[in-house]
Amino acid sequence: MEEHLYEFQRRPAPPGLKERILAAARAAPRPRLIDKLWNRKSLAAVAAGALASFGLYTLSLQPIPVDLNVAQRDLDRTKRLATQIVDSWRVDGVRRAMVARLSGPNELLPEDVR
Amino acid sequence: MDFLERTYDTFGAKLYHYLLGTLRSAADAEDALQTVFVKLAQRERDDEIEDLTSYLFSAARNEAIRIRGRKRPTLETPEEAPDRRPAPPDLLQATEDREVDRHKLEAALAVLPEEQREVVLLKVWEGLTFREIAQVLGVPQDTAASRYRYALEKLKTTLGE
Repeated sequence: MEEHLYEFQRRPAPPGLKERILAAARAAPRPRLIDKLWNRKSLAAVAAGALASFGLYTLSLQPIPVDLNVAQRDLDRTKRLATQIVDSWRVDGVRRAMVARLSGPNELLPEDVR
Repeated sequence: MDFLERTYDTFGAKLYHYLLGTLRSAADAEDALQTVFVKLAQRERDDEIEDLTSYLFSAARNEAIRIRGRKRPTLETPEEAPDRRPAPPDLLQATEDREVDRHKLEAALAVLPEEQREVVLLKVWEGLTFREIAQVLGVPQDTAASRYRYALEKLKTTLGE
C-alpha cells in the first residue's frame, strides 16, 4: 500500500505564491521594543509580582477598625481573671499554712482539713 | 538569498501541501502559510529555533487549527452544507492513465480521520520522519507510527487492494 501512495506526486503550489508570501513576510511590522519586552515571560512575571506587592502594601496602609467597647470589655475580663488567679493563690497559701500548723502527731491530716 | 527565501525554497511547497490537505481550501492554505512566514519574519533571532522542520510544521498546524476553529460557527445547517460547500482542491497529480486511481486515492484520503490523514500527508508527501511527526503533533513517536499504520490499513480496505 505504501509504495502505491508514493506513485502519486504532490500537486505544486500555485504560481506566484512564493513572491506573495515573501513580500507579506518582509512587509510585516517588526515588533516594537516594548512588545518584545512584554513578550518575555520573565518580565511579565516580575511585573505581576511587583503589582501584587504594591497591592499588599496598599492594603497594609488601611487602618484596622477597633471597637472601643469590645476592647474595654476584653480588658475588664482579663483584669478579673488575673485577680481571681492571684486570690486563689492567696487562699491556697493560707490553707497550706493552716494544715502545716495543725499537722502534729495527734492532729488532723491535711485531707481532713480540706 | 536571505533566510526567509531559503526557508521558503526548502519548506514552502511542503507546508502549502500539508495545509491544503488539512484545511481543504486553497485560500485558507495560502492565508495560513502567509501567517507562518510572517511570524517567522517577526522572530527576533532565527538561531533560537532548534528544529526548523518541526517548528514550521507545528506553526502551520496551529494556524490550521485556528482557522478551522474560526470557521466552525459559520457553517451552514447540515442539510444544505454539502451542496453549498465548494469542492476540495486536488492534492495530488498523476499521469493521464492514473487519473482514476488518483481520484480514488484522494476520496479515500478524504474519509480518513483527521489525525490519521495528517500523519499520512506528513509522512508520504512532506517527507517527515516519525520523530518529527511526533514533535509536530505533540504525541509519542509510537502513536504517530500506529496512526500511520491504521491509516494504511483503512486506505487498503477502501481502495480494495
